[in-house]
Amino acid sequence: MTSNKAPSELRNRARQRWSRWLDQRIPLSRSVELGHRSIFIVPTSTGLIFTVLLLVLLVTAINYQNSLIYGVCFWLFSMAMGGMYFTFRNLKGLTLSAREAVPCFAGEAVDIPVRLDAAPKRSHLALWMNYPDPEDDSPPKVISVANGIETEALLGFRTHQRGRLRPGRLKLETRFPLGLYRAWSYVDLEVGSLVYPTPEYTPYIFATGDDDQGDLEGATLDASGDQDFRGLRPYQPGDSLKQIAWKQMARGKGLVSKDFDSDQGASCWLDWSNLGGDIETRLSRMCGWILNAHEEGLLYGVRMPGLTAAPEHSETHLRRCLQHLALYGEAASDSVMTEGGA
Amino acid sequence: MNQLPRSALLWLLAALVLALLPHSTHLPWGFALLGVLVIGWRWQMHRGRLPYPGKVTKAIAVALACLGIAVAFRNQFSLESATAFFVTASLLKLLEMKARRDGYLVVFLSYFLLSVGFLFEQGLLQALYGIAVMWVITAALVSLQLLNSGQQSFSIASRYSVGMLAAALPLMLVFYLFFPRMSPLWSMTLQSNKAITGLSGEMSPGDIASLSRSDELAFRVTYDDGIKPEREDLYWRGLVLDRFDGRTWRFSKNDRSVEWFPKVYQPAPDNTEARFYEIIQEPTAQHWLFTLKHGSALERHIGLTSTGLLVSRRPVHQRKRYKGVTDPYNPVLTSLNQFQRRHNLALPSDSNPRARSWAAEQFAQAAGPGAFIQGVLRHFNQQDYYYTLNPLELGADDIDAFLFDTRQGFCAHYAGALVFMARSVGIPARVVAGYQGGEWNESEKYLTVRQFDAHAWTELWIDGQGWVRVDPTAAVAPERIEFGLEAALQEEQSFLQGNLLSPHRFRGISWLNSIRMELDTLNYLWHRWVLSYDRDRQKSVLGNLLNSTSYKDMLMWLAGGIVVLFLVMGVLLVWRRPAQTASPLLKQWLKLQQAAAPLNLQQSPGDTSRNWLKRLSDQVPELQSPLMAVADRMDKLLYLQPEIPESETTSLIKEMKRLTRQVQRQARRVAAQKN
Repeated sequence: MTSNKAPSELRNRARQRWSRWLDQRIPLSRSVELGHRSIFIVPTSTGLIFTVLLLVLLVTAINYQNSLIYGVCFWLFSMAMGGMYFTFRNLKGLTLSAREAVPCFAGEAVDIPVRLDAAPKRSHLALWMNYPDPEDDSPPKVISVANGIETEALLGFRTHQRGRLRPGRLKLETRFPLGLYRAWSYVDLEVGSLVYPTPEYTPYIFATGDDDQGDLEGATLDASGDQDFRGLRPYQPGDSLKQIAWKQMARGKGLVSKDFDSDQGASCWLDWSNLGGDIETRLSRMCGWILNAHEEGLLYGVRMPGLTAAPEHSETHLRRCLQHLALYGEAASDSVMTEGGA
Repeated sequence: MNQLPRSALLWLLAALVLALLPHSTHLPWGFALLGVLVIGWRWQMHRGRLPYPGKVTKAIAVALACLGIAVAFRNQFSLESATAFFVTASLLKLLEMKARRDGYLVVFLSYFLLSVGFLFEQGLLQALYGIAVMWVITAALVSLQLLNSGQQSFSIASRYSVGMLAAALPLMLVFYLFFPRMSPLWSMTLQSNKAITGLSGEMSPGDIASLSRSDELAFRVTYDDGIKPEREDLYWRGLVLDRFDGRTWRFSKNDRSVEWFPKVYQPAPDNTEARFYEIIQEPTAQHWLFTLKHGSALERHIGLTSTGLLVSRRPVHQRKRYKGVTDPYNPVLTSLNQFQRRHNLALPSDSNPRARSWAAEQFAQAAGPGAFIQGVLRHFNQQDYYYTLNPLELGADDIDAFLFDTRQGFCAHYAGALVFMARSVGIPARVVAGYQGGEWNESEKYLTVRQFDAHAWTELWIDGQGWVRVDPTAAVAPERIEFGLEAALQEEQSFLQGNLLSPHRFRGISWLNSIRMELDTLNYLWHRWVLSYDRDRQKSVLGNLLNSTSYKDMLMWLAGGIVVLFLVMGVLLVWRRPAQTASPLLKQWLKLQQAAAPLNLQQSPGDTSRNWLKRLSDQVPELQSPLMAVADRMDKLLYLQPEIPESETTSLIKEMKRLTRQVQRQARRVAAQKN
């Protein structure tokens, strides 16, 4: 074990230097146009085999004094030389820009939409894109950007931490057209999106509101949150898909919604001080509470450092609370972020 | 990801098939069968009707194929059997082609097989075919990168293939011209064992006659001075046949020594009598080359024999280009030693008694060897001897039978009979085999010698004069020497009999003949400038072109070619295409955005102009109302365009121009405040 330590440390240091160098060369940005500073190119192993082919052809041509084989050999050689240009050009001028991803919870996989704009009058073919993940060797996405048409690629990324989505560098590679060279770039795109804490579902401990009750207010206690079926009523715009009585619809009776008896409308306070554990655990549990309360249709208020939100039930409210959880402890979020995803 | 793209399969199959097709001429028909079988199988696999072969199936296929090669070629190791091995290997590779990696291997094998095909055939047509196949193989290579199938990827592959091959041409040309041509690194024992039409090392009476039925090319000659040579001088010496066993004349090495270039006679630089020429000879798989009389070896690996012939150090397996000379100052042999004399007088003791006694009788009457020979030739000329391609069968003592019974013969009969009679009376004599004449091409000034120009004549030793050429055919059929074989056989109508479609049969039809001559000129230029561009040719071309022939200069040119290529590529990559011209409205909009740059308001993709203007007006509340007014007008203009008159656009632009100035002022102020 000890013998492995030194090389791995060396490797780490090398990796750090490499990433520092990359940061200087291709800095974090919302949109990157690939140019000669950001594209790297080397021959592939296929390219090496091709070199062997060329040598065999050359020896055959010399030994048999055959002009046509000389011709084939030189033609292929020149084509391979020019191929470098074609491979490089396949990335050059391509503009990548990040789009907002749908917010997700830490630990979940998220599809990050990356927009690709072709250089004027160019197409960029057979691009392999992914966010490299050592734990996941699923194949990269293969994208072609046709001349003048913007294309969007959805790149999978497994999140690990709550906060702003920081997927790191995405890898964009191409071997088109000959497969003899590999041109690639690592692009660090700023994805305007949030990762909420992983929810941990624990029983509520309702906090006292203004009137010190520490319980649900205005709820019929015997219903205790179970959503008992009450009857059918005509569909109203805004009813969720879950509420629609599909069986009735199938019988041709039109859109009818099921009405439930529930805790809907009950209000409560969720308080940071009622949570145990370290900050991350508390954030996870708070997240679980909020999600449950929202799901059950409660009017919930949240009280935690930096946020006191009066009881309410709405998507905006939910989002605001989750956003606060996601960015908890980070510098105050700037305006661009708070508008996100509306 | 690493799977073989489905759209690539068609390209790969096409590439391999096209690369294999030229091999069908020298491989047994069984290989065509194998090809059809394997490709059909692979196609069915592609369509999902057959599974991929398992290990056992593959092993059986490989074993059967190896057995097939061994049987077909009887364990002979030749260029053909080696090619057959590669062909089989690449066909079988198709069966297990699953991954993209296998696809690359098939592409590279196709390139290689196409090139190997050029070892067998190098005509202009084959070269054009090769270019087309290069395109298909390269398209297959490109298609391996394209995952999406269908029309689009087909056209991308073919377009890129053309583009890249075309872009490669300039550098290819530089390399073709300047890459130093070397002599073979090692002697190739792997050679074709295909039967080659041409002179052989021995001559039975019918041999040259059968050669004369072929119109295949033997060699082409270009004279340095471009002057048409006299037909009577065009005796192309190939072999001296000086051993006779009663029926067949053979060449022997007993009587000859070889002096190799440069330790051999060279014409002096101021020698104006010497005529230089260049021969491009088709492969013969033999050592001998062709030369006129008084010739000498002028290049490395070529030697001059004591019998006045040129030989090559290595058998001529590939088309060979070499220089020759005919120089009257070249000193000739003036005396025969005892051994040489005996060798050129030797005859089997008891054959052809009638010829012997007739010759002895004639010799006794003649005043000397010269008169004796004149007498024999006069006899051939005046008696009813016939020159024919189809002589009657001769039995034992065939010279007797020919001279006194049938009296019909081809050049070999007359030459053989004359040498026999000369030797029997004590005149050293030998048969010389080679070609006589050739067809002169007036437009490009070269001579084409074909197999039907094959000829045999004699050389007799006259003390004081040395070896003297005597052609008995000239006595029987003078047209053969003056006008060629066709004229000599005009009565008999046997020229190229059995070769009905040969274009040479139609020399009489002038337009057909002129087409034939044009094609021949094309082929000649192809052979001269492309196929025989070897070390010496390279030296002379580059010497004329650049006045330099050193390897160092050639390497400089190669490096220069690559540097220029990289420069061009670099310039193309750095050079930006000018942006598409924006509409005046868009231009003004961009100016407005630029004016607001100090406020750091980026417009993200998908952000509407209204949204951005709103954010701007939040920062500069003084301009809120005009900004929002512009937003309204822009929305109308952008989304209701057809109903908006042109004047509205111009007035909006004017308004935006005004606003831009104000925004600029305000933005600077706000930014200054912030800091």
